[in-house]
Amino acid sequence: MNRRKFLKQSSIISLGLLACPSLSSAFSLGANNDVIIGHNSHKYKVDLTWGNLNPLHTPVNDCHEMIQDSKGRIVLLTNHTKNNVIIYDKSGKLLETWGTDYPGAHGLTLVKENGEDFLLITDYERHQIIKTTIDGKVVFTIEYPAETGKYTTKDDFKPTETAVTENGDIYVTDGYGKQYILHYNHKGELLNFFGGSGTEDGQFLNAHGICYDNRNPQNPSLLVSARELNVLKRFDLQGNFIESFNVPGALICRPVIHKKDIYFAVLRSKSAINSDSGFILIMNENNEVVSCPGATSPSYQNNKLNELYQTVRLFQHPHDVCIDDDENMYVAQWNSGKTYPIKLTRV
Amino acid sequence: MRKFIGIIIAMLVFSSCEKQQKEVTSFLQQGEIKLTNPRITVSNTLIDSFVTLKPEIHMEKLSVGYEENGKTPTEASTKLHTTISATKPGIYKFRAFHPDWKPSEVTSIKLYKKGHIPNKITWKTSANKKYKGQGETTLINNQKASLEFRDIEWVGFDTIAKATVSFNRKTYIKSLTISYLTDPKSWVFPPASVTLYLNDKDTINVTIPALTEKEIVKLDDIKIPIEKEISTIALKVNNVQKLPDWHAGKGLKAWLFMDEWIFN
Repeated sequence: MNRRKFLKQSSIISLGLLACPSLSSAFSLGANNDVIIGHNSHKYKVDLTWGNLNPLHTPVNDCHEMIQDSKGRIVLLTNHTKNNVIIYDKSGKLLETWGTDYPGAHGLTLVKENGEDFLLITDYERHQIIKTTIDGKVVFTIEYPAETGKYTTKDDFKPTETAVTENGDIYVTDGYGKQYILHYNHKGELLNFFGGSGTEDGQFLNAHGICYDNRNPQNPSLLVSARELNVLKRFDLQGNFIESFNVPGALICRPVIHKKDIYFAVLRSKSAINSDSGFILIMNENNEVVSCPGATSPSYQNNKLNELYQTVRLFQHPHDVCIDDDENMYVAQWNSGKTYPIKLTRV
Repeated sequence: MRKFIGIIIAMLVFSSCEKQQKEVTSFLQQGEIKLTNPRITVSNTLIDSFVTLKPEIHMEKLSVGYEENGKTPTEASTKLHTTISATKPGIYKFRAFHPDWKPSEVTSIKLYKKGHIPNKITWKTSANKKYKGQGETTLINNQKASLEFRDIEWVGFDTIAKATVSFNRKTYIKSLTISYLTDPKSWVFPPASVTLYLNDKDTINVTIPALTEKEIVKLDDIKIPIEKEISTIALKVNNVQKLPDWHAGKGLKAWLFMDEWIFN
């Protein structure tokens, strides 16, 4: 190409650039204008449009929890009884919905049995845990644990979360009820219980979430969030307290383990003037807080974590996170004006 | 032919333009979301000679603008980079700015002039045993509390608060400021009314407007003009007896949390 040809073609391209009304801004709107939240190894771009649906057809109230199933689909649990379960693909496209019987739908856990996916739903209004197939057929329900002697009526039992071990044992947190952790076998028969309301090591104020931690396969354990106390507590599988991790200022919902890290939605900042002051919190494998998207950068003084709090009004009341196989995160929010989940794309 | 190539190139550019725009707009852009209100640490909100105000700068490129005269801070306002001293009572306003985010709303801090300290306070009712503050003199100890209701400087009542304060000699009191906490989600409401009995003779009744905001946690006060020589004041501060319909505890009693009575 000689110089004349080059100039001529360049001028045509330039004309195209000028003719496209927002082209210059499209280029200037490149990576530089995408805001990035988070710290250190865990930073994200924010997509507020992911998964938005027509609320007349597929409404949500509170978006309580999310999981990714074995097919890679993103499963959302809401307490809207038109469609308690909403299933998306990773792009945010609606695939299917089901469920009209879960007014207090709160906790959602994936259970894999012999290559088949099942769900455990906790419903604090029905005072039950319900095991379903991935397409919504009820397998069994667990009623309130009268046999513990701690519960007078079913109304005392308001379960918030479940965790499942490799052998199928189920642990349930009664986070809106009497703060016990109930241990069942895979058939839903009660084996043990521990915890209760209080501020001692083995007790909880709002035992909101639980997960099974088998990052060390020789020594698996349970992680339970004591949300009002701003503490994550570790127990052995028999319910003996092992250790706790303070997260000052952070009302942490359930712990979600993905690879070596633990992720939390933080419902709100403890000492914020506004209630909708939540954010995301990420711990590494050493249980150190490494990133808080939407909040202050985590820092330690004399091995103590400094108070964390929201810095931007992005999240309202984050209630759960789901990390997909691309390391992207989906944030379900409670009491956020019936909004759909927010997607955070890892950068 | 050249024309044809040019058109093709232009079409490709348009196409990439549209694609680029779609990719970009799916992510949150600069200036779309607000910053959270700035946090300011105050050494004391009661000024004897001076108090200090310190901003928490928690992000790179974050700046905090402030105004002393009640105006809303703008980008042009003086920036608060480090601790400053304040000597004048009044409302100080602060606002956070950052190139990636919309400016925050305003944080207001009210600074008071330190008042006369009564020599004695005699309580006729008791604070709730969980919220006794620093003891019987907490409300006249020249220390304000934070926004956290568990702060040791708060004295919490689930009933009427009644006490008598006395001065050793007659003291001219221009006004009494009763400062309190508003934290509806924690069932903490402003007082419903206040009655003052001055020198066992004169009575002042004040009604506080009912709370309408549901979410905001704030430090607030009521300033009651007195303009008299005073030897004793008996105070009766009534808590809200019935929480409003919009509150989760509607019909039940509210908490009353006070941190200081300031006699100027």
